Amino acid sequence: MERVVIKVLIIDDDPEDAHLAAIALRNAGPQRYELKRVTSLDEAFKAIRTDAFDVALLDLGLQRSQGLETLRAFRKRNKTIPVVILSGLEDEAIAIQSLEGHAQDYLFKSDVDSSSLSRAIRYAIQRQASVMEVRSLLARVEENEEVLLRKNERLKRLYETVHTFVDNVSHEFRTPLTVVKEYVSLVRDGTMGEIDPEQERFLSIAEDRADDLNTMVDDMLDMSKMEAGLLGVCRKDHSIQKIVDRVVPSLSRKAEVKELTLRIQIDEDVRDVYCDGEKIERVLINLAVNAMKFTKPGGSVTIAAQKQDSDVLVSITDDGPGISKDNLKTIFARFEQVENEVRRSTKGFGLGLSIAKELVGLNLGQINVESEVGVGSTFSFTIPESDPRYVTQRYLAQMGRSRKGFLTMVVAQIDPLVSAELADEVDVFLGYLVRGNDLAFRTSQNVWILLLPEPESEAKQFTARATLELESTNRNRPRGPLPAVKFKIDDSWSDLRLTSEEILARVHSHISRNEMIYA
Amino acid sequence: MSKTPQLENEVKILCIDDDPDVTRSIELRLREYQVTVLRAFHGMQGFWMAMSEFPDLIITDVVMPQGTGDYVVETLKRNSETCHIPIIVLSGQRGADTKKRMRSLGVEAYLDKPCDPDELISTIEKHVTLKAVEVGDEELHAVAHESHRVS
Repeated sequence: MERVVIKVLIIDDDPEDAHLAAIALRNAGPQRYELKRVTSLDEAFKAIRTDAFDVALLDLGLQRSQGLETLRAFRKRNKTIPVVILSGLEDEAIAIQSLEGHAQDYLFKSDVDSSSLSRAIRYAIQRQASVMEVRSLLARVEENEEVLLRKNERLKRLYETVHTFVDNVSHEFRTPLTVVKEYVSLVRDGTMGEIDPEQERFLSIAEDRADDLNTMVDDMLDMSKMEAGLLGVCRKDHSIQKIVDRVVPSLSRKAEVKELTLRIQIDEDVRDVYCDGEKIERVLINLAVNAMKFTKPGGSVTIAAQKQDSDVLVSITDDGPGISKDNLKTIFARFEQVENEVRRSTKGFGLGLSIAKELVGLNLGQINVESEVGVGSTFSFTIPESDPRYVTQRYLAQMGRSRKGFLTMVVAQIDPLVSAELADEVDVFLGYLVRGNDLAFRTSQNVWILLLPEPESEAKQFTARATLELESTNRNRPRGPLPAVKFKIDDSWSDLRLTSEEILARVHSHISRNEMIYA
Repeated sequence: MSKTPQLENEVKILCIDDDPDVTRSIELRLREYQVTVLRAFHGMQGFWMAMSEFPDLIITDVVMPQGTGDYVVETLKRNSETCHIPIIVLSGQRGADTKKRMRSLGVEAYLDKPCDPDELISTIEKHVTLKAVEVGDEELHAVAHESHRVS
């Protein structure tokens, strides 16, 4: 304290004791003190109101109040002035409790002398100053926390608003589009009466263009979600044949309109794949529509699927004009760029390729282009077969690119005696529960492992939410509740580059253990 | 109204969509089968028609005024008289949330709009048997349909 005079308020109803303290301070050397003495708390508060004191010396034994009650009463009305307790009672317990009751020091009257009292006052002032600073820092932290919470809440609301908005806009587009497409198709089919071949051809063109418009709505929806980082995937086991079957109607219509041949060649040894089926449909449509755009009437486009190590390689081959080496480079460059510059895509190739690349990435695959001028082009992509070990490996390889990351393994389990049908319902429930970047594998009829890209603390929130969600689902289930699902956090990792072997080994051991039980 | 015997055993399908063009197109699609199509234009109406007509299958939209698809599905699936009726949701909503919600309410299938007609038919056929209209009966069938709709 650089202050020349320290103003001291002595609160003591014993004139003798007060006098001793005053003498001790008078003889305390260079530091000067200005003293005021009062005999009760009421007087003390009156004094504090009119004058600013640097420290108070408080006797716990006053006429109106005794012991710690005196300190409590004082602190109730004043929280800022440093307090040194001066007490006639030599009681260690009270001394400690006083400090807890926000006095800064405690002196027994018998120990009071110039040096002990002046030191106690000096420290009390310093201590109280740091207490005040901590308190104000704390207040600021609390205030900031509140601001952050509010902002976070607002962001969450905005995020949801954007999400719903994009969904609603696309819904608004889609409703009239559905009607246009369906009515054209009804007339073209002859359902509404006979039409001649030329009328049929025109209506096919109209329906094909309606399909294009629908693809564009999907593209815009995906694009806006990609830019907002909202594009999630719902990956599970799928048959590639079924995925292809779903895109064939609109693609064969387009082929017919463009007078092309559409061929589908799916090898027999192709196994099920692990992906988001709808997203892969979108990739197929985008790549096939792109291929058809550049193929002349009479030409052909082939969609093929074949086994390639632990992946399925899906290729879209056309016998169009092909792409020159320079242009191929540009396309590759575009593939490279899209991660940073989604917005700046493309004339001629449309948004389709950028979206295809992004969607393939989300499905743990890779996209590729090969082309020869005059011969044709092949756009191809891989999707992992539904083998948890391999999928995890691909997943880690993809996350490893961002170097730092967290991964928590959660094991979900139901009673093994639950019927197969109900267990499948639980599987569907878990399938909807996992979010965009989670992985979920069913390792036996009643056990699932979930890999969540987050630290253990967040995974705990996930399991808590999952349990709540199960409860609310069960309230609504007309056909009786789902069985209880036990979630257990199995392990958690924080550096994926260093621990990927360990993670793979863990997945492996879980699978082989459960396969054994299952078998 | 004099019902033909054929209509007595006919499959009854209730379509609920606030866009009459959508339900009409489903009706047209099903014209080649021995099916009676009932149409409702909002959720509440759909609910009442389900309660009074007991259709064999229901196709419903999600976003509708006066009773959403959620309302329709929830009330029907909670009622022991109607909970067995298969429900197909046909919606333009693409969000996984909607699908998950509908699924947890107990719907049998979820189709995206626009839906390929063959896919719609094959999904219906998973739950009810569709019999093609016999040639020669078509006219009678169409007349019966008209009179049914008027009623």
